[in-house]
Amino acid sequence: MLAYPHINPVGFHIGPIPIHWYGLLEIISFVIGTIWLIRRGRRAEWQWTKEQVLDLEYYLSVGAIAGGRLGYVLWYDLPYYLGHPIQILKVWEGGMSFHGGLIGVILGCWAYGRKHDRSAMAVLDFMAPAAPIGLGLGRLANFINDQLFGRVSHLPWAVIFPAGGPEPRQPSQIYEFLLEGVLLLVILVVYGRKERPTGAVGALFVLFYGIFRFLVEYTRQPDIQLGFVLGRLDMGQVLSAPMIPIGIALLYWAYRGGFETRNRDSATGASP
Amino acid sequence: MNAQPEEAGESMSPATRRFVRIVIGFATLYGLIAAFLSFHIVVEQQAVRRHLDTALRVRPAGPFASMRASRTAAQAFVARLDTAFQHNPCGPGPAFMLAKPPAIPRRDCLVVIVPGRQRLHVRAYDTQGHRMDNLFERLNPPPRRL
Repeated sequence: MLAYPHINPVGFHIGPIPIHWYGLLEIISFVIGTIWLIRRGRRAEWQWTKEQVLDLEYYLSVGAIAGGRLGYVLWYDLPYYLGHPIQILKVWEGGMSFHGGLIGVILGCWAYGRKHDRSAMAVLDFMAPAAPIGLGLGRLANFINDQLFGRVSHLPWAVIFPAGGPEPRQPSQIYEFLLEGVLLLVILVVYGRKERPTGAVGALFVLFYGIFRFLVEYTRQPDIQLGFVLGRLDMGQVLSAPMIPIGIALLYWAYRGGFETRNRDSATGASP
Repeated sequence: MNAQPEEAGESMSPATRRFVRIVIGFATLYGLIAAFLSFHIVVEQQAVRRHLDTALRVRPAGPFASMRASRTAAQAFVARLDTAFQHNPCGPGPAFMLAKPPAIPRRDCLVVIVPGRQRLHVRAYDTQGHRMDNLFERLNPPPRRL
């Protein structure tokens, strides 16, 4: 088994203000993602200006934070928040859900698309390959913060997490970093290099995130207030399972040309 | 050309609009069912965690003079717990039971007290009937908040 590296959650101080690794990694991922999207937007097939990318980031951030929080409230601890509704606003005390964040981001793409006359699926295609950067670094931050660790295991690479008791556990945050961060990024970047039907890149994100998260959850310690929720499935799996058929359906529809806009159809001769 | 500025909303074909409605409808319904399931599970799990936490905190101290003494202490302990917490949060039946090894009962949301010479052992099952981790539960005691 491996020893937990005991990384100080506080990276450094700026004067009296402690800078936590978690926040720092989120900021780093945001900056990297933004720079990458600005570069991506310059490509002829996208044609996004820097201002448009920054405007989109605003919509996505609001969607991710609001959706992530509401998702957590709704799917992870609703009885508590019904009794303490003010606590919903205390985002800094922790409690975000990826699945809620994803819905918020999709709504953000839709709202942005409406404002700027772009289709929501095209906006999702544009930003989806940047998402694994934030997701991956977020999982590394979870590892540094000694949280969201795995189930008890005696594998050679199991880690004794201080917050998880004396038994070695699966380093599920690292699995998530590798799958939902690195591998998903590679898949989307490689797939997105060629011109694809509108909606296909976003659909692929939904499909593969659903698969990876569903699998990794088998190694992750379920949230203590819930435990398992459906036989051997935890809430992360219950919420990830529909992403797989939805991702396949979106991919199918994208390849049928269903998300191509009529303007474009007439320009390219694509079938409806 | 993936993202040329276009008349987004109006350019969707009726078939695509219908497809999108079906996907949104499915996701919404699924999300609501998941929320209902989660609510239900949190309430039940909170109760069984409280039961387990209580049993671990107040179990009579060992060692016992004999197995018979341990069984007597366990029986009295279960009777006390059953008086304090009368319902199994997952359904009919008691919240606590005395085990008569080697037979150890297993049921959703049940806390089982197992007699032993050195101490009384506590074994709990979650809302899905899986054995709970006493150490992890002790590290994260249930907040008294619901």
